[in-house]
Amino acid sequence: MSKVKLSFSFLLTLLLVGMFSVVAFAAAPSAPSVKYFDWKNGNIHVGWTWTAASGGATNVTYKIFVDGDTAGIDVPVASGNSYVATGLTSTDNHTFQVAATTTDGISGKSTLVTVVPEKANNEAMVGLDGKPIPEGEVDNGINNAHKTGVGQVVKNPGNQLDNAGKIGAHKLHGSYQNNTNSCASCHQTHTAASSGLLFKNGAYNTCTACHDGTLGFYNVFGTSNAEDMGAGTFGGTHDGNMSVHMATGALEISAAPGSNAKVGTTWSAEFTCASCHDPHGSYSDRLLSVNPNGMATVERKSVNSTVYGNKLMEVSVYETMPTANISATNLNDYAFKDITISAADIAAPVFDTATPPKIITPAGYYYNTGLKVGDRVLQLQRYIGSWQNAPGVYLTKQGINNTSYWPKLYKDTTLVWPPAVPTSEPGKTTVANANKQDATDGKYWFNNSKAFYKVPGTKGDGTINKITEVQKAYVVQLGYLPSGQNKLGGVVNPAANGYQPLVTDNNYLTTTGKGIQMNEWCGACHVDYFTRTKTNTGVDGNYNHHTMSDSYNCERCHYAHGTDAKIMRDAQGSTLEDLTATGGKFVGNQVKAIEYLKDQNDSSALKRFTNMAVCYGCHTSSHAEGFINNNEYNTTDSNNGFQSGSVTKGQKLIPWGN
Amino acid sequence: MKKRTLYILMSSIVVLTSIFFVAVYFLGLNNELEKVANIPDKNSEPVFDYLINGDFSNPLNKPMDVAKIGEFLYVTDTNNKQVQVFDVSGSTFFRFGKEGEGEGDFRFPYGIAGDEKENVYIADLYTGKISIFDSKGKFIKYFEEQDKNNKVIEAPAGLRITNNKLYVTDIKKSSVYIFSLDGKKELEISQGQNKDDRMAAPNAIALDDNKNIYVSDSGNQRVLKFDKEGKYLATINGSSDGNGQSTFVNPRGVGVDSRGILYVVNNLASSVSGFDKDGKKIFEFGTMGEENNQFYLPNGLNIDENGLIYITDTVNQRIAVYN
Repeated sequence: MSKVKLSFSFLLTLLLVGMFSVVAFAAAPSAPSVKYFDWKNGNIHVGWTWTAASGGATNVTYKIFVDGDTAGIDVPVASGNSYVATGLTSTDNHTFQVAATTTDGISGKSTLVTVVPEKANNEAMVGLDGKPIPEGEVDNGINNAHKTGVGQVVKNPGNQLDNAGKIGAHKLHGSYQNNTNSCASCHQTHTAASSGLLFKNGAYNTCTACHDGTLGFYNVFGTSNAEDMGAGTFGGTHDGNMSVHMATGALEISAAPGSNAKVGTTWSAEFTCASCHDPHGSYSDRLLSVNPNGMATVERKSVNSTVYGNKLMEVSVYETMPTANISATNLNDYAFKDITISAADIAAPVFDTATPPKIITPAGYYYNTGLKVGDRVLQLQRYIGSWQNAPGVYLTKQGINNTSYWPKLYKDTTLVWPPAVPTSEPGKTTVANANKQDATDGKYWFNNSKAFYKVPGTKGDGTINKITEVQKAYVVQLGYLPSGQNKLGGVVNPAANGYQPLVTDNNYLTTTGKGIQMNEWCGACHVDYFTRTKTNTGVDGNYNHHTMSDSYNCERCHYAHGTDAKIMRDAQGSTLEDLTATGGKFVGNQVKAIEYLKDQNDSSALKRFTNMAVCYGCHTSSHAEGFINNNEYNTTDSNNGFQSGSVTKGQKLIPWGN
Repeated sequence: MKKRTLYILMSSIVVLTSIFFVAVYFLGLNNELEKVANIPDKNSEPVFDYLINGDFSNPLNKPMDVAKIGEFLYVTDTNNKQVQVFDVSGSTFFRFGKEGEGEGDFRFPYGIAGDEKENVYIADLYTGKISIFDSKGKFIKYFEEQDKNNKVIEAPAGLRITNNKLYVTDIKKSSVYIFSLDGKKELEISQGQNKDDRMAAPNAIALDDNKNIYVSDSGNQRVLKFDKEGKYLATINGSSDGNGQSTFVNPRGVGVDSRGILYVVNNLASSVSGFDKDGKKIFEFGTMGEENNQFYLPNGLNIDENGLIYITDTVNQRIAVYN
């Protein structure tokens, strides 16, 4: 037999083939694999598999490494491929690794597994009243995202309607639970990058995780009039000359135009979604902030023709409310009414027997407040066309039994119920004022959500003249009405979904009692712009467009979020959809219509109307001279920039000389 | 043995082996082969592998979804209105798409999936269109429904393509549609247990090896499981039987690995949960943050044929890869 020669190439080939084979058929793992691990009866059971490598090394024993132990615990092969770890604390995580010791030595360790403590089944959510919350009533289906705190701020107390005309919106961000597990969605307890334990630049990203259309509602990036464009869009395009309230946190609030006066308190804060919206609840529609730019704590003043701040000073108390010369500019549109609680005031709501039950008679205003018939209450009211209860006080102190805020009460010029320091105020052990007994627990308290002061005694005990210092929360009622009616006001054409003005008797566009709330709120940052000028200058000495009335609310000309050619209108009120529809100016020609509607200025300034159609839509005549050759407009067919049916056709909206 | 015989034997082995692998490669049979059994621990959680951060000068901005199509990773770079393409190591290859509504443009590119020809399907949530590109990013056409008078897709979100079928979730319709790739609607699912149990804003869809369908029913804080005929099988929401209070906070991307473990991205909790075949939660990984093994509002999840798990981390602007 010839001698076999082994050449280099032969060995190399053998090696390569060997490697291929290894890849193709996969070698048996040398380390054991943990198959299961679980808590049972207070102990952790771990099981694994192990395949002996070919070659026949004999398995001697397994080694278990618990919680990073390096020595390992020997488990004889005879006891099987499992191990019961006893005596481990059931509230901590525990880690396990397994290795096999053979006659060839010890194998590698298995992948680290972590056994987490046993948890009880997740119980049904229990409401603040201790009762289980029925399925479907939990936060609009969202499991408590964004919930912190309990009941500090209530939802808009009125019969608020959402876009679908259903009463009781704000569920998403309200209804806090005692066993919430989701604060961490927005807050970091120990490692936050921003104040308020918030993530750095977190608001914009957190809000838009849902409000980008991926949950099918309130898409803040929509750019079609078919969607709800009440506040405009953050999703405009360069091609549409978009402009937005830059809410990403890249700017400070002080970047707001008209902020020259710098009377707010948070000018250096980042401007984010949370600058305008309170995710935990507010007294306003759309969760608008109760304290924008800290202005609820700034004294309400009238300077030149501007009013700013919302801390009410020296608020009068009346038994019979006055009616003459009431206006915001006179600073007399807030007052307390001295009332005695009747049975109707504290009556419970009456439901029918349907499932789910519907309210037949709503609850009295003071239902569930703890008040009794005959109690004397000073109720804060505001004149909004008529005197109406004005809910919402901005809190600086927390107390007991909703005793969150202590205004000073004056009888004539004598301080009768002082700003007693609540005995439970953190850090204060002594009470400076001798009259502290007047703020006794549960007895004489100021209700922050409904803004009333419970007075000891009855009206017969004497007259109270005024209350100083009420830090009034901003309240904006957008006047959401059932579907088919408009935003920020009353009745307009049903097609005007997402569109603002309404028609009053004199054919002017107003939103009675509500427009000015909107203006005050915008004016928290755009301070100088909130004026009643034309003839008077504002805080910064400029003449500004009149904004201190219901008629001239900011939303009438501007979107709150942002604008884009696709959602702008021309002076006739025509939208992209109108212009491209049959009979429109650019039938079927989307490109041309967008070009027509595109604002030509450097900034489209969040306007609802393109270019200066924002003026021309209303000002169809001039203070200087009447418009000449104006056949294109103001004919008997024109809707004057607004929805068909919302105005009298051809009506001059802002007539000459007015 | 003669030297010559030995040489012939050995070279035959080499040649046959080469032919086999070359054939597999060029005939695209790699998905047909029975894989060497990947025997990881039955219930162990995946291990963080690496991050794909993309090109420094062209960072991702809100990557919503990811898919491995052919050898490349396609990521919907949603706020940049484009798709970025990476190799699996994370090197940027190219990008395509721009803001707009023309062919090849996007307004909100979301779900992404590839067919056998490695064409790339991309759902645009805002325009309501599903665009089809070739693997190089060249626009081919829009996905057209055959029934032109009764088009159903309005706001497509999650996409998957398996066995020449397109699975798409529609957020506005709160429904799931299954089409053949030539546009014939084969199935519509819009309810869970019964007709009163409507889906709400389903964001993602996935299939397991038995072609069961998993839908991330985001608005209802749950994942619904259906068989391939669309018959309701189970609800998975983190509670013991699927009927209790959900532990999800805005569930998004879903995927099923070869072990049958269901992965669910818990968007607002910045975590990913794993469930066994009985819907029992077996692990959860990820916390809020910027480190490895952390997420900040993760969204899309996709598992490739090798068992690698890709998770889009929207605010951290990256893709996390788990093994």
